[in-house]
Amino acid sequence: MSISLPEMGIYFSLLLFLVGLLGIMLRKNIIFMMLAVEVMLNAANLAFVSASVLTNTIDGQVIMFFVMAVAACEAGIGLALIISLYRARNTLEADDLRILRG
Amino acid sequence: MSNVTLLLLIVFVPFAAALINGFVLRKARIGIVCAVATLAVFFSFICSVLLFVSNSVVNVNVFNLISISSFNHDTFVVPFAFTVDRLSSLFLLVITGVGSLIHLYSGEYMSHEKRPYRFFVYLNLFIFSMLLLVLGSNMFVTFIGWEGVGVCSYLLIGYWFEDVANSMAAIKAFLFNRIGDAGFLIAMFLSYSLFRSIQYSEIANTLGHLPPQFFSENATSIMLIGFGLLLGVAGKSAQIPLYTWLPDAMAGPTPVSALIHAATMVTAGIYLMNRTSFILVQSHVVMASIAIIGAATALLAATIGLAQNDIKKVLAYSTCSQLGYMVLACGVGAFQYGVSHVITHAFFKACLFLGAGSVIHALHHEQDIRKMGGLYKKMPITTLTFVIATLAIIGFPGFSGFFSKDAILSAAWSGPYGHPALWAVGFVTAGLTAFYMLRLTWLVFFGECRAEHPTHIHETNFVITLPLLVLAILSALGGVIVIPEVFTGHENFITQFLHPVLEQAQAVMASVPRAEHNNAAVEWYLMAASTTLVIVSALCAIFIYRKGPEGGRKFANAFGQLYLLVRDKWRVDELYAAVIVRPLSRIADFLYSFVDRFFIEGIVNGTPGVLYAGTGITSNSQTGMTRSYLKFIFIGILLFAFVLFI
Repeated sequence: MSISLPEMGIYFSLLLFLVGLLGIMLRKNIIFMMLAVEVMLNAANLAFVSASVLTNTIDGQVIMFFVMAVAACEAGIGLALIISLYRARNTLEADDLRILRG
Repeated sequence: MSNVTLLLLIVFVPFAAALINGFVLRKARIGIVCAVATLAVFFSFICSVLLFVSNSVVNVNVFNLISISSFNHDTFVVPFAFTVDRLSSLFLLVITGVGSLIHLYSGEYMSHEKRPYRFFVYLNLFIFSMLLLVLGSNMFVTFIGWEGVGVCSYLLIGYWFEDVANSMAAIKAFLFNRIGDAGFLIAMFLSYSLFRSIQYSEIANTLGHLPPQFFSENATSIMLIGFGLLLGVAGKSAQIPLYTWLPDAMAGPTPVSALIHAATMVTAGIYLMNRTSFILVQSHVVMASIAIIGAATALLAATIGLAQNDIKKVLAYSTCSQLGYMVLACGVGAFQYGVSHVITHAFFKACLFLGAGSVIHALHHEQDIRKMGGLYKKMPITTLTFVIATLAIIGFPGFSGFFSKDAILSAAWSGPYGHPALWAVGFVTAGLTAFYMLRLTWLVFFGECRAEHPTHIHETNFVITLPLLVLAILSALGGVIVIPEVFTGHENFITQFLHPVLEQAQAVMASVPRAEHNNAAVEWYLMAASTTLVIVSALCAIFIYRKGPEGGRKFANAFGQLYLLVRDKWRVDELYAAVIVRPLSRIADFLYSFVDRFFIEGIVNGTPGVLYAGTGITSNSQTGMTRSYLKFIFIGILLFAFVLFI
């Protein structure tokens, strides 16, 4: 039994999502954590596109474009925040930023 | 202008001046500030003269301070109302007249101050409060003024608050006054519960129409009202046992001593006794207590005055002593002579204090009379006025004090509640007064100059000397209001003038049988005796101190321990400290160290302590680390998915 391409896309997106999740939980640098978030977003996009092909509808592909637009904005704002955070605290290690500690 | 307008102007113009100085002229030069303050008080003085001349009773109800329509099935209304009658108008003249002279004087005396507006604001507020005190038509308005003058006195004694001693003196004066105020309050409450009113005219009216058994049934309450008022008088007018604040109050600037602690505020007690005379005379015990306290204060303060070396302290004890005379006059039933002595005393004591201020100003704040002497060559006007005022205070024949003091002494002998023993105390006091006043005058103005920089001493400008001259003239001639009957053949002015105010009290006193009636021969003898004593002891003082303060040493040694006791003011302050202050502070220490530190602070600090300890356990989970939060989020989502899908 062979696996069709869209199905492979679904499985691959699951793999990609796990990579992103592990990345965000294991990396300490905020820039890499953001990259991991981007990876997770793209995993979701891949899942949407694959599902769209599987179900023969166009909805998933439309949503993918929305997600890409939002991701672009998020990347821009996120990087700006990271830069100003670095200027203020001189560090990008997530473990050093603990002012919310109880 | 109608009398009502005049009355409102008298009260509120000094208040307006205080506001202007306090808020608009904060950075102005002393000349402007002083001009505003002085002109305001002088304006009040002119209005007071107009009101005095019109000689009518004026009532003004400004607004209702307290208005409760149903209070114990009764309406309870306390109006903010003023009444001017003859008694008030006399006090108005003294307060605004002497007050405006002293305001003027302060313009020069306080010229070295950086921010003089504060001083003049307090002075104007004082005048305002004092006017409320003497104009209030019920006890409550009087009480507002009574408290107001207390506060202003506190602020002005502690005017130079950078020095701790001054602040302590201010606090002492305030606390002693509070004790008296409590007495006044108790009297006010009791008279409401007894007469259903605190308005003087209504109480007088009620008292006049009550059946005799009312007085026998409520004798204790009436006596308590009298004693409450007496306590108030003792606090404000510096009588035993509350007199010790007055000498300490000399820490304030000298114009303050002249205005508040000699001429006006301390005579508030005499005013109150005149105002409530119809209540006081209902109880013999109260009248006798007043007379005894007055006589005792006069004698005690005069003895302390003998051995003081600070020019202002001598004058302060002399004020105490003279206030004792006034209280004695009220106690023996001669209320009007208390008032006449208030007036003459305001003139000569203000003159003495301002003269002392002139000397202190010229000697750059030197107050020790052993370092003065021979100033008559350098300060002729001050010397002249001081000598006139001294002659007035010791009762030298012809000067104002002679007439007013003699009226008191003769009343003490033969007044409605008089007794020869009271006269004897007053008589001895007159001798002591002559001695210490001549000692003071001689050591300051005559003999050799013992000042440190004698060449710099000179008379200050007319702003200082003009009030001195006016007051000296008044203290020489002020006695006309009370020239005795034996000289002129008809009743003296003050008795006639105050008759409407004191009528009711005098009627009560006339109904009391008394031993002897005053006759002219006795009065002549008393007058001759006191005049002789005054002149002899004055000459003794000059003889002993003719060569400076060393002359007194031999004299002092003759008395040994007694002299030391007198010099230490009979150690009354030490007695109070041992009997009242130290036990109180020990209790306070206990309350602080045990009750406050242990119980109160234990509860207050313990509550958050327990909360911190409790919340510490859970707050540890808030690590602040982003990745651990993510971990929880991930676990949460997994659990959610687990519940949702399986």
